[in-house]
Amino acid sequence: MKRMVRDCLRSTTSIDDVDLVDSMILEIKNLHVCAEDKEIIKGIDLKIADGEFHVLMGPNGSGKTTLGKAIMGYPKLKVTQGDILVDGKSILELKTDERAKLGIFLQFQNPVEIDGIGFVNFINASHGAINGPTKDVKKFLSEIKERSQRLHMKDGIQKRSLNQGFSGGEKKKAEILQMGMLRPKFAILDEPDSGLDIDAIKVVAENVNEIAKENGTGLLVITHYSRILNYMKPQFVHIMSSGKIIAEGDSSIIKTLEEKGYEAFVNEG
Amino acid sequence: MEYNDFLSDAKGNYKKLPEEKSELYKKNYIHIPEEYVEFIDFESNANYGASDEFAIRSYEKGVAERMGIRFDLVVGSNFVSVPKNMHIEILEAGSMEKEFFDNKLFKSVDDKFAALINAKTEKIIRIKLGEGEKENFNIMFVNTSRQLFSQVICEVAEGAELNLFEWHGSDAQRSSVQGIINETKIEEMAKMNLVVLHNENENTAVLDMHRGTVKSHGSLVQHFAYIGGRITRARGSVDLNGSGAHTDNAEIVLGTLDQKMDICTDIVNAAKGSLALLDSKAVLSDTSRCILKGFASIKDGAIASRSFVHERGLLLDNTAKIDSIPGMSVDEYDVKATHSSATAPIDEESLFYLSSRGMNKTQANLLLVDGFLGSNITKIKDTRLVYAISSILHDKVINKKCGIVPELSKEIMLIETGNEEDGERLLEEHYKYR
Ligand SMILES: Nc1ncnc2c1ncn2[C@@H]1O[C@H](COP(=O)(O)OP(=O)(O)OP(=O)(O)O)[C@@H](O)[C@H]1O
Ligand SMILES: [Mg+2]
Repeated sequence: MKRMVRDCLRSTTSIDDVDLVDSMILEIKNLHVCAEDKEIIKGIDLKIADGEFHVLMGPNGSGKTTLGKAIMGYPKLKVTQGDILVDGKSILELKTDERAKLGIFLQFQNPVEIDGIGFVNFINASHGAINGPTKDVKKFLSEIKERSQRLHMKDGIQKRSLNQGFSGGEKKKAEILQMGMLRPKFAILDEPDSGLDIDAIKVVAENVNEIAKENGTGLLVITHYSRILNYMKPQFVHIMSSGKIIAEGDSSIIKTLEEKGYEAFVNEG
Repeated sequence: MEYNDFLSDAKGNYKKLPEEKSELYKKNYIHIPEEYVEFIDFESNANYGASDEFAIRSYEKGVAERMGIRFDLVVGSNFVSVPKNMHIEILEAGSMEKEFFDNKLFKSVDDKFAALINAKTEKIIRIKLGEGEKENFNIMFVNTSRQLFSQVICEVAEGAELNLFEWHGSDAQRSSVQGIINETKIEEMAKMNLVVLHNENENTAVLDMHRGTVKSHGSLVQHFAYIGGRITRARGSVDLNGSGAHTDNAEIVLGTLDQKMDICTDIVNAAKGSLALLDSKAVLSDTSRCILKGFASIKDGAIASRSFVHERGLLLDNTAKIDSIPGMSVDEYDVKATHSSATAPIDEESLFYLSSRGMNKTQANLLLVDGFLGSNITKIKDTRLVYAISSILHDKVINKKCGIVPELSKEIMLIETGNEEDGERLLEEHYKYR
């Protein structure tokens, strides 16, 4: 199966052969990552070009969140082997905020709550750090408002402290709102659908599609459920288990997964 | 007590009293090292050296130009400007009557450093508002030599309203001391808003003493910003003596490098239906240190009174240290009182989250400082002061150094207050000031 997937990747990307002027590639090469001396990511290869849509699935504890955090430069993780590159340049030496400034966005599986930091202030600071100072405050505020309406977020949520007292669903939506405001080149969305009700899954998926389209964002969406994929059309699906990619393919492998569970792939891998 | 007796009582008590008189805090106070006070001459009054009017005026000009604040009175080492308003009087301590000293709220026997300031203040500032009068004043205190001791006595008559802002700065080049006593008397139905900004430089030890009494249905709202000074020792209290009296005290502390702050505030409900609030917030980085002490007492007979003390600290570096010590004594049953204290270092997960959103450590700290202290700053009614204090905080988070008079922060501050009205007002005025 692995070989088949590689071929499939090559044919669709075709980016390798074309002269890339404006496009960007996030490339993960033979990545090994340790946390507290325990190896969690055990040699992963992944290539995401802008505008592409990848899905990453895998059993609990397989290392999906760890991969996302490693790409973002979480200080408690150590890359012991391999590389993470953006447009051919290693980003391993870059700090987290510098990676964000390159255009990488991580939606957290569990966003932190920070008391006292107003949500709008937070987005403003973040937007300022990544895209330069906000010039037109009113326009900025109305964009936040408009995006939160598109996400069907409750009015007034913007006035609260960062993620504080947000419901599970509100937290996820708040993350997607940030993605919209920050206009990333690559977005790793760590379970944008978990904890969302059925309607909210659709709303979130549609917003992610729209934002990715606006900005040509390359997406890596981590999920446990295929429901969200009713509204999003991934080109590539990667299955991860015990720190390794054990299977890859187009969205058709989700069907196999639904029918047979991870067992099918673990055996094959 | 006549002036001469007052003076010798003050000198005697300064020599005699321990630095911390209160049994409660004997183990928790910050010592004022000798180098900040050893040069003080108690034999002669001609101890200020030459007046340095030029330096004082250029400091004043800097503040006016950068922050747009004009002052009605400027007090410097061996210099007092001519007050711009007749409600502000400059009194010669030596020519005051016995009654004046008898009525002072800070007696020298109360506190070693109150005694020091009593002994060393020659000119006393008095602001007296008559019934129903309303005034706003800004006073600047700037220490350009080694010492500056001042006293401000405010008397706000029935139904009057006084808004007073004090800027305390210093550009002392050697170890120096700046001492201030604020004594405030609020009569029935009168109101006072006092905003005190300490922005002294790193050579200065700050001694801040403030005491207020509030009569029936009067209100004393106070904001203290402790930002400057190498060492700060503040002792404040408010006594609610009349039924329905009210006080709201918001304190902020921002410590960087090796600053030391020792802030102690007592609020006393002594009358029926009185309401006392104290909210202290400290953010510390580097190896700075702060002791926050807040004490609420509810006296016998103060039925249906309410008292709330909150102390909170945020550590931006694990080398900084904060002790927060809230206390409470309640003699009356029919009251509502709470006190709470919480301090926490900023955790790694939160920092990672902020940096994943593009913020470096300084930018994250700015956001945290704004967020943590913001609610206690935006409560200040005069927006100009909100921006001035925020700008000083921002500059200090970035550059660490204290005592700087920065340009108003160019960065857009979308200060959120949790209160829509305040938020919109600030946003609107933002356009006016920039
Ligand atoms: N900082 C850490 N220190 C030690 N172990 C860690 C650390 N972070 C993650 N792990 C371990 O690494 C493994 C992978 O965790 P990770 O959170 O990446 O899984 P996941 O695939 O995202 O799972 P889920 O689907 O439940 O979210 C788990 O066994 C986890 O306990
Ligand atoms: Mg996970």
